[in-house]
This record gives sequence, C-alpha cells and structure tokens, in this order.
Amino acid sequence: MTDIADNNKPASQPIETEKNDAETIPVAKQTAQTLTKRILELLFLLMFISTLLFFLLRLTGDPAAVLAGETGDQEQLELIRKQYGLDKPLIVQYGVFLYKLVQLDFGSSLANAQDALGLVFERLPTSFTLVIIAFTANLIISIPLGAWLGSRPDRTGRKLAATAVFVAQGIPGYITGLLLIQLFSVELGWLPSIGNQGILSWIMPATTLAAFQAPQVVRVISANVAEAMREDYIRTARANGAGFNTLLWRHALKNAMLGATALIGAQVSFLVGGSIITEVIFAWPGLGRLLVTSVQTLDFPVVQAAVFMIAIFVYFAITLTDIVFLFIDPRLRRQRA
Amino acid sequence: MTTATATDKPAPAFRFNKIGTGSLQLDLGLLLFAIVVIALLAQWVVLDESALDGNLRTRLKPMGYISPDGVRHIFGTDQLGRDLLFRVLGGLPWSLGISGVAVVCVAVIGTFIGLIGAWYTGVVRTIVLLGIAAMIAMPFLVLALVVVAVVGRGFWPLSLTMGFIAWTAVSRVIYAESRGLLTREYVLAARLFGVSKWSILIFHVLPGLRPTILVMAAFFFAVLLIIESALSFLGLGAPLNAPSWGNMLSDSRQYLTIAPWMMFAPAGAIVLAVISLNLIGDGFAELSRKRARAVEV
Amino acid sequence: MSVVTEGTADAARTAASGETILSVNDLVVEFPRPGQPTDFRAVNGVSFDLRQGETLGLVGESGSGKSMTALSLLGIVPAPGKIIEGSINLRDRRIDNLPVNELRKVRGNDIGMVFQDPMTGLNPVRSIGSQLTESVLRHQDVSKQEAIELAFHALDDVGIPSARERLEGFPHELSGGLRQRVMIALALINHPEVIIADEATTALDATIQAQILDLLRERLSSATMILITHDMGVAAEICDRIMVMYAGRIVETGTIEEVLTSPRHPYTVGLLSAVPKFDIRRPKLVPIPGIPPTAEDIVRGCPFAPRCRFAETDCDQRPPLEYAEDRLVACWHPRLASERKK
Repeated sequence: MTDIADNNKPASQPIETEKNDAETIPVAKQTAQTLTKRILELLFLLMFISTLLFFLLRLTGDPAAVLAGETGDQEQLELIRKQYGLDKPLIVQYGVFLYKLVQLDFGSSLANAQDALGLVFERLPTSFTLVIIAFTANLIISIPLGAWLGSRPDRTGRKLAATAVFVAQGIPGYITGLLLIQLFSVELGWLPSIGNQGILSWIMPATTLAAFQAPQVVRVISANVAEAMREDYIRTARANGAGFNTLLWRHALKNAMLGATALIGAQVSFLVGGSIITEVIFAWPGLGRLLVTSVQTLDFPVVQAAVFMIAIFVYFAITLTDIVFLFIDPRLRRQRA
Repeated sequence: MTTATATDKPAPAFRFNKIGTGSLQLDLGLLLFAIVVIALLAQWVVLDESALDGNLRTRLKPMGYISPDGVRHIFGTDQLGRDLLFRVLGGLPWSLGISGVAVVCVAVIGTFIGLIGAWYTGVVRTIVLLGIAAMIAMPFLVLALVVVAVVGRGFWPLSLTMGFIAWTAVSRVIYAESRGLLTREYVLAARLFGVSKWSILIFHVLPGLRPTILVMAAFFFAVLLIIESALSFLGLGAPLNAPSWGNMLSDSRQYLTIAPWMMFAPAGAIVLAVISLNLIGDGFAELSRKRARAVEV
Repeated sequence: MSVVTEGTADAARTAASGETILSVNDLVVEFPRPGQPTDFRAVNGVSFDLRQGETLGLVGESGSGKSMTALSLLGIVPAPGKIIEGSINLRDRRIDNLPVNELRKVRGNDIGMVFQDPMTGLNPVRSIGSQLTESVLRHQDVSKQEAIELAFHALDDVGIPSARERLEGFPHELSGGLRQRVMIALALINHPEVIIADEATTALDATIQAQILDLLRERLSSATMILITHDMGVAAEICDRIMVMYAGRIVETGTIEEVLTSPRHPYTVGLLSAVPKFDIRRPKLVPIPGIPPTAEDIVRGCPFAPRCRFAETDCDQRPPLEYAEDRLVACWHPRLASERKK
C-alpha cells in the first residue's frame, strides 16, 4: 500500500551499519582521562582554599595578633612578625606561602610546636576508618531497603516505611548521637560514650554517622527503582517470563544504582563533614576533633594541613567511585567516532 | 499503549484549589512551618525569667515541673533555670533567620553562576564547571568551620559565610537545567530576533527555572538549618549567649547525665523545622512534576 | 496493487491449515477509576481465534485497545488494569487464570512478544548476550554454554552482522534497526508457538521499517503471529486476516483482501482513506474527522457514531458484531457490496 511495499529487498542485506564499526574507547584510557580531570580539579580546589585562607586571615585583622593570642604585647608581636615573615609585602608573603605549600610544608602547630602535617597524619587513620565503615554500612542498609521500598511503592507497609525514612531524614546526626548516648551509655550503660576504647566504641559513632546520610540514599534509590520498574525493558523482561525478583534485582536495581552515581560519590564528602560533629560528640581521637580544636584556638598551620588532607581524601574517594562506575556502567564507555 | 496514560487526569497547574495547594506534602509542610513561625510570636508574650538562685540541681527542673508560683515548665528548665520552651522560641529568629538569609544568598548566587556557566562557552564555562566540581567535593561543614573561625561569630558573618559557600550544588543543577532550556525553540527564536543576553536569561530562561529554584531553596533551607545548628553546637556559630538551637543542644550535652530533658526542646525544634522544610520541598517537586505532566498531555 | 495479491496468496495458503492455536472469548480489561461511577474498559468484549500459521493483523488508532489485548494474552496488563471477564485458551489450556509462576512459563516460551520501541525495550546496562541467555536459561533445560550458542544463533538468524561479538555488546552500541532485530531475536529464541509484534516497525524510519517487515515475512511466514499496527499499509504487507478495533471493541474482521477491497465498517473505510497511496485516481488523503472517545468519555451506543458520516438515529444503540453478508461487522449501516454500486 505504501511505497515500502514495492521495495522487496532480501532480509539478509543490506543492513544499516551506522554504528557497527564504532569502537569503544578502552576503559583504561578513560580511567586515565578521569584521573587527569580529577587531579586538575583537586589542584584547583587546593589552590583556591589555601588562597582563601591566606587572604581571609590577613584581611580580617593582624595575623600576628591572632598568632600571639590575647596575651601578646608589642614586643612579642614584632618577634612573631619577623619569625613568620609578616613584615614583608603581602605579595611576597603569598609567594613564600605558596612555595612552602608545594613542598607540603605547613609549618608547626602554634599550640605545641609539633609538625602540623605530622599531627594530621597521626589522627588520619581512625577518622577515615570511621568514615569508610559508615559509608559501607550506609550502602549495605540503604540499597536493599531502597530497592524494597521502590519496588512496589503503593503497598501500605512500604508507605509506612517510606514515611519513617522521611522523618529519619529530618533528624540531624548530632541529635541521633545524643539520643544514642542517652540510651546506650547513660540509661543502659552498654556502650562507652567517649573515646576509642576498642571495638564497642565504634558502634555508636559509626551508627550516628551512617544514620544521617542513609535516609537520603534510601529515598533516591527507592525513587530510581520505582522509575526503573516502569521502564520498557522491564516489560520486555516480564513478557519473557522474568519473575518479580529477577525484574527487581537483575534489571531495575543496577539502573537505579547507576542513576545515583553522583549521590553515592558525594556521600564521602557528606560523611567527612558529618564525622567532624560525630567525633566531637563522642570525643573521638580523630582528624575532625583536631580540626575543631585547632579552629577554636586559631592554630592555622594545623587547620590548613587538616583541610588539605580532607580535600585529598574526599577527592581520592570520589575518583575511586567514578572509576568503579566506569567499569560497571556500559553507557559511560564512550564511542570512538 | 496510550490507554493507560489516558486514565491519568490532567492535574491543575500550581492552582490553589478549595483546600490546600493540591499536594498533600506541601500542605502538611506549610502547616508545620506555620506552627513553627507562629510560635515566634510567643516570645514577646512571655518574659524570660531566669532564676540564678540555689545550686545547679535546684535550677534544673525536669519536664512538666510546676514551680511554687504556678509556672509550668513543659520542657523543663536549663542550667540557669530558664524555661526551655521559651528559650527555644527565643532561638527562632537566630536559627531560622541565619539559615533563611543564607538560603536567599544560595539561591541568588547559585542561579547566577549556573546561568553564566550555561550561557557562555569556552574558558568561562570551564572555570565555572571546574570550580563547581571542586567546591562540591569539599565538605561544606569543613569549609564553613574554617571561614567562620576567621570572620567571627554572629548573625551576619554566619549567614553570609554559609550563603557564599553552599551555592555550588544549586548552581550545578541550574546549570544543567538552563542548558536544556537554552536549546528550546522559543529561546532560539528570541536569539534570532536579537534579544539581548540578559533579557533572554531573565525573561525566557529564569521563569522555566522557577520550580527547580523553589524546590532546591526549600531543601537547602533545611540543610543550612542543620549546618547552622551544627556550627553552633561546635561553639563556632551563633554567639555563645544567643539562644540558637545548636547552642542549646551544646549546653544540653554537658548535662546529659543529670538533665537528659534539656535536649528535647531544641532537638524537637530542629527536627520539626527540618521535616516541614523537606515536606515543602517534596510538595513543590510534586507540583512541578504534575504541571510538567499536564503540559505534556 | 501488488500487495493485495500477495496478501491474497498468503490467505489462500493459510486458510487450508485451520487448527486453532489461540482462542480469546469475550475479553474485558478494565482500569479502575477511583471517584468515578464507571471504570475504564480498555478492552471491551473482544473474541477471536488464531489459527496455525496465520498472521492476524490487529489494526486501530492509538487507544483503541489493541495493545491491551496483546498484553492481556501474556497476563502483563499494567497495574491497576485487570482482566475482569472472558477467557484465553492456548490450544486446550486456559491461560488467563493461571497462577503467576505458571503464567511465567507461558511468557516468552509459548507466546513471544516484540515491542514497539527498540530504544527503550532493552536493558541499557546489561549485555545483549546476558539478556538473551537469561530468557533461554529460564525456559530451556540447557547449560550456560549452550545458551550462549543459542543466543548467537538467534542473533545470526535475524541478520545481525558479527553476532558473536554482539553478545558482549550493549544496546546503546547498536542502531535502532539492529536493536529491533535483537528484540525479535529475544522474542523468537525459545521458539514460541505464537508471536505478537506490537507496532514492531513504528519507531523506525521507512527504509529500516521495510527491512524489518521483510525479516518478519521471511522468518515468520509459517509462524503464527499477531501483528499490531495502526498502519493499514504494514498490515496489508504481511497479514492474512485483519481485525479492526475501535474504542476497545472489534468493529470488523475479514481476510486482508476482503477488508482492503470492500471495507464494511465506516471506520475501516475511513482508515483506508487515510492511507497514502500512489494512485492517480485518489489524490487526496481523507482524514477521519474528530477524535476517538477517551477514557473520560462515557459512550452510549455506537462509539464511532459521533465521527461517522453514515450515522443515523438508531446508532444510539450499541451495534453487535454480526455477519454482514460475508464477514463480521459491528455496525447498523455497514457498507454492503450490494449497496455500493454507485
């Protein structure tokens, strides 16, 4: 009837070959590209933050006065100016500052004259272990829960659970932490409330940290799963006899997870931020508490070293997530033209 | 296949129907938020009586305590014998005010930078994107902590610092959405007619971004409220004597063993405010989804 | 019109082998509408038989219920829609009321389905091979390695070049036409008795559409197939018999030749006038005025009456699907051959 009717070509040829010759760029090469991009971003960030700190400290007042503290007299101020090169022009100071930065020389702590970077490295392992535990716990709980909630969002039980998750999302970590201490340390006396005293001490800080971020991940995963379950490929799989579990776990979840890549990568950043408060609440001997103490005492060499290490750690984690997803998500592997 | 979609009734666009706004979440959120804000008025009605007498134990009154002169302390009193309910109400302008000012900054700066990144190509866009990507990775609390330590405590330093740091996430979303809007036919038509850059951005692109900005502003209000309280909790936010909710939580932590009730009023206030703001954000998101669907049909 | 003669030849061939494979009786699919007096009937009393080796065309506008009819054959009507009446029999077995795990054995194994949009119909993050073998391993008792072999042959059979490498590939690496071939391979891989092709060529551009139609005709000439389309031209190319649906009901059925040359129902007449052809005597396309009733409309009487040129007062009663001369038509005033002399 239409023009195609008279077009009786054999089916075997000619077949359109638009994309047949396209080759995907090897994952290794793309990994290298991602790394390069991330390292550039990191350098930009470090440069920005250190410059910000440098000028903030100088614009808001006399850094020598800050360094000398409230007890410093005129003589001491002069001494400090000389010692830190604060009597030189601003631009020279900035140059010296950057030069030392490149060598990772942050100076020594004003409080106890220890090497600032050394102090930070001392605290690093516990803090980052805490963050990694919370990150893992968060994903282990959030992904199945989110998948369950999103698979049939109209069921009553799931609606109730979703409401609970929504309320949980509104409870900041420091409130969870205080409630946990109140319950498990003060009332029940089961868990130690301060410091790192063995395995039991990890439970409450890790829970506090994970609990604050988990609801958000649950909600995003659940929304993504709900959306994926309405996709055409789910209908195709159903039409081929796939059962509910296959549809959810083998078809919908992977798509839902890949849709949450950015959020999962950003979790590390959120968790590091949250760990600062968590460490203060639980008097945890970590980097976060060191940062807060140094900020309170205006111990800038330590502050700067801590901020640097945090930035590097977060970037490392985000880049790692990027690369992992590059291996998981076929759509990210770009075509060569 | 359109049979299924045909059963969807086209939803009214942002129209206020007889009761509420058409979104259950938004209704609930606005209601809760109204309660929180109306409570603000109560602070002028009741005088803050602090009774610096006796020892700590006698000043700390548990929840529901009725004093000899008949004053009922629903949430108990703090270490200075001040009624916690009224202190929480007094903290409203601090906690909501600081995060409110910050969220306005976030919305304005985030939208502006996002639009700039979307409009320009080349070096400007690269710098904007690089900056956004880099800043998002830096834990917000860490940055705020460091800057506030230098610029000092107080309402304006705190709110402006948060406003000038937190815009990155907003600008990323605005950037992505503006790029989509800039490819629409009506924008192309406007460009062909020689409409100026700012006219296009303000009159053609910005209106399309309004739902997104509303949704993000509501969620960021909640996030900033949490951050403000966190900073105050760490002793680096509102001035130490200000009744900011974070400060009150910080106080309560010191008396956790002898006066566990001290945390309930400020914690409840924070949670209530955050939940209501999240509800408002969800409600806006739902309404804009409904409207998008109504336009499609 | 070469097409018509071709269709006639097919019809003649298949008419001989008459064993009924699929039989649908009084099928009703409803979507609940909370807050409204009546629920929406997407499919409203559809009955038909599908015979061995026959290609049945299900033709109608979007929203006429043709896709819902197909989905209900597999028991995958999207919630909250439901089959509320009628029966579906595959050979001697009733399949519409099977428990879910029995029904799953029918899907893809006894009845295979090709969907409209190849761009979204395949899972973007799973390899093509894994999607094919998943279905094979579900329905056939074979090893993983054998399943991969079967998947390779399935791809090769539908004309996918370098099929072996494609197994490792992902849908986004293929063009639309190739993806539709993968969809067909997926539908055929377990050798189902009945194949449903739901607008299988609609989303493709014209030349690729022709290739896919050729593929269907070549591979499936002896298969038992239901072809769903809104395009009379496509139906004419490969169908033996045509069933025209309007507003959830069948309004006319007949062999392709009968329907094309002498449509009885005014709606079929309208559909045929809306098909472009290279015919100097009929230079103008005639659209059907108005729009089909939507879910919102409550239809009394003949649903087509508001758009019908021939409507009379008795059209406010529902016309039954009855023989008008030689075939089934649901119309009070069918365009009978005897009346058409002018």
